[in-house]
Amino acid sequence: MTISLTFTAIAIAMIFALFITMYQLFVHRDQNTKITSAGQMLDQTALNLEDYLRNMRRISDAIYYSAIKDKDMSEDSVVGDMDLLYEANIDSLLSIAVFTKNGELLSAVPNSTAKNELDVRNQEWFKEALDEVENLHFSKPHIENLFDDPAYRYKWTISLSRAIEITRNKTPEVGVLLVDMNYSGVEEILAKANGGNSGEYIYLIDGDGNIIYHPRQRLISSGLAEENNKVAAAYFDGDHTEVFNGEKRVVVSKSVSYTGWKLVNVIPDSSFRLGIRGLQLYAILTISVGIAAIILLNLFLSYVIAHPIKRLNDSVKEWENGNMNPKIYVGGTIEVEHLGRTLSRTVRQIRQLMDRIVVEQEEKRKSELDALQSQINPHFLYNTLESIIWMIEGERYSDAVSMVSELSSLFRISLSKGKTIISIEDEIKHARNYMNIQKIRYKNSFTVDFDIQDEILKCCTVKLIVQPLLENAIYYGVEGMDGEGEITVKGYRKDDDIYIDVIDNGIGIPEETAQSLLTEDNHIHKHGSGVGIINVHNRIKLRFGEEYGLEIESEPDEGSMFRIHLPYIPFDQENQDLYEKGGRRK
Amino acid sequence: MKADKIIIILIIFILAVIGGTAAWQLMNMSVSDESYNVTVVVSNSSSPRWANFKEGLSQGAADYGVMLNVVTTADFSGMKQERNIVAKEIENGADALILQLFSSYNQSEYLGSLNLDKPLVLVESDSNPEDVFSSITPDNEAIGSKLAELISVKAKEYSDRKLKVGVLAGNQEELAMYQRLSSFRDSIRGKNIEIAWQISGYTNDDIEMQMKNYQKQNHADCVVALGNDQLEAGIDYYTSYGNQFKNVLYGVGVSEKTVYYLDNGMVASLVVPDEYTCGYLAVKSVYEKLTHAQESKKNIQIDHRIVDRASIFNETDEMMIFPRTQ
Repeated sequence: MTISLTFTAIAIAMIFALFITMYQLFVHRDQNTKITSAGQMLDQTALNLEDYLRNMRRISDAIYYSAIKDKDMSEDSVVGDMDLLYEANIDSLLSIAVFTKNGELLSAVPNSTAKNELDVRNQEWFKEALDEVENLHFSKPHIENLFDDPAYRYKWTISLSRAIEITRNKTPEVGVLLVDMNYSGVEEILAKANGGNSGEYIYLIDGDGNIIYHPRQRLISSGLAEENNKVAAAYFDGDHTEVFNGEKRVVVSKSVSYTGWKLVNVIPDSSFRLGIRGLQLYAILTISVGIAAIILLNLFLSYVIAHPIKRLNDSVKEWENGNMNPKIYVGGTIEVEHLGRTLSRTVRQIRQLMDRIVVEQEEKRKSELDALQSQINPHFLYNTLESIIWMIEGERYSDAVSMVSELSSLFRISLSKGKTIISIEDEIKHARNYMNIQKIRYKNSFTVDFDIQDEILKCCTVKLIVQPLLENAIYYGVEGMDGEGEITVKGYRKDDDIYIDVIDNGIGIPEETAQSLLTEDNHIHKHGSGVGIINVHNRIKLRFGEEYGLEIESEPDEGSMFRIHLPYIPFDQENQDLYEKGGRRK
Repeated sequence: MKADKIIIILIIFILAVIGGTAAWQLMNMSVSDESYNVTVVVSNSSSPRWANFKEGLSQGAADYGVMLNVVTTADFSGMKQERNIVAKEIENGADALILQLFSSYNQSEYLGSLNLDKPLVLVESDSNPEDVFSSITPDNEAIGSKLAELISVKAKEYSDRKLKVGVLAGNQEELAMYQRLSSFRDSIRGKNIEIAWQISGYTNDDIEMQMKNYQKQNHADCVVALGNDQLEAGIDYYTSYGNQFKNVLYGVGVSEKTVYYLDNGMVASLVVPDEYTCGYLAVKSVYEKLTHAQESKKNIQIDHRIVDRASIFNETDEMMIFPRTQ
């Protein structure tokens, strides 16, 4: 799970990092593309507009230089020439008119009736023409208010006015030439540029920021919409970022030659996001599916990798918990399988090693025992044989026969055909033989009482474990005491255990000595058979397990008790063979 | 089940929901550009008087992405004619209606009988009783009192007698016309003004004839027209005698003809409702109702301006009076 979580977290983090980077890159590039595209659109629109306005200026020039300049307007009519130019540009023009500097209409096409009480002197285009006589002036859009149209038509126009020199009655004077352009010409150019529905739009302002064209001009005039036109008038050509009415937007501006007008392309922030929506949804979809796939894949990979490791770990735990023959899992990936095989081999080798150690230990003990048994104290044998000789010389033949029989039985059981595991019955018999010999030797200075339950007689024991304890009881218990020594051997079963207690009423053993008997290798060389207490203790443990062995209870001047603790194992051929081979592993 | 497995299943479920929603939205992106069909029914829809209104409608349609269907109608002569058109448009699947009611009275029963679950916005005039349907209208009472105020100025020229006024009151079943007339009458009460005659009626065909008759009986010094069609009829009456009459007409007008005669001097003052805004807001209101985007105001009052000969061509009035579409 940890591997899976780690992989998933890393993968998700990488996906997010990748997506955010790509997204930012895409958005940035998209914005740049849009701004560049807006600039190109603006350039194209400016070009179209300049063409259109240049054409208007050419018309104005043509009228002035070819129709008016060299004519005396009091004598020659200029209407014919003006009409020709008007007809040639009828789609772009509303009217052409020439006024004196006092506002008197001298000539006009098409041939319309001027309005009654017409006074152009207050009209902006007229004033501008006379204020700056060297320039051509483009007015703001307005309703043409010069001629009477019985069809009730009022048309929007942009007036191109200029001061001109006119000649009347051979006298030159200042006049004003007015070319009223059809506003729809400008409108068409800009409406074409505003064809998209991305929220992006282009508007046109004059040098003071007054709107000449705006796709929502009437809404702005009605107060239903607003525009940042006054601020935009101050922008240099190029792109600018502004916040208007709480909305961030990019504004690209471009000046229109000769007019002081400015084209402004507005790209609201929302239009940048317009194309991004699909991308965002696609990214969410991809990321969701990607993350789900990664989680599932990681879970699968984690299962494939971790599950065999976990099973292998379970095998190791089982081994740790004492099962020396665990079933080691071998499987999974090549590496884990190799690990499993290696571990399995190691376990097997350890087990074989342990078996070998047990066998070797056993053999060592056996050799030691054999050596000890073969080295039964010569003094014991010498004294026994001396006692037998003494008995024969004293013609106590039956006693001598009895002692020889006891000695013979002792040696027979000691050998036991080379077996280590014998029945408790034989072990007790061996102990009796030994004690009978010793009693004769010690002239019955102590008594021995055997109290063995019948049910344990046919159970397994390691041989020669009682005799060393009896020897110990004689030499360290009752030998040196003043009164009659008493040695009792009790054998009994308790649950699945067997206990054989060797109790004496001798001088006892100090506490520290009693404990050291089971931990230090104190061989008895002086008197006994040479088989130490610890030897007995270790042999039992080695054969039957750590929970078995000897226990010692002793009180100085009160006596001692050596308790043999054995498992309850019925004595038969099968169990004997099993425990001969170190059967506690069962 | 272990907690970590539940969490993983939960995460995958959440991811599936998120992914599914995104996929669904992606699939619906192309079809989400739903367009609403909005039908507009006004009397004599091809009349130039609707030019500004239609321009406002078009701008609104462009801004809100609705399909407009301005039904071609003649001058309504009765409620039945209008109702037939409305019923037919509903049958044809109109998603919403913008309606100029021929009669403002007893309309709720009729419209209710159509089981009209589609958004409806009234223009020009509200219904009576008011506040049953959404409406976008000028302040008709203010227009009536404004006209009275303009007449009062003229009345001051008549010190020896009262100024006699003829009133072209139009269709008085239309609440707007009724309110203008009531307000006008209330406002001239006690002033040096006398109503010489008043012509009300559904159609404008015979107004000129009626005016001639009334003028013979009781000559009015000037005429007040409460609607565009009435003002045009008044203009027709005076022009039938030539162009010598100046400052003899006062009224509500939005058509270029009425502006022309204002410019010409025959019309002394013109009250011009902001029809462009009316058209735009009608579409906006309908769209908001269709999309439940936001709670639109039930009744909206649009502005009106008083225009005289001197101010026709000033920048602000120009923009409101003259349509851009030519």
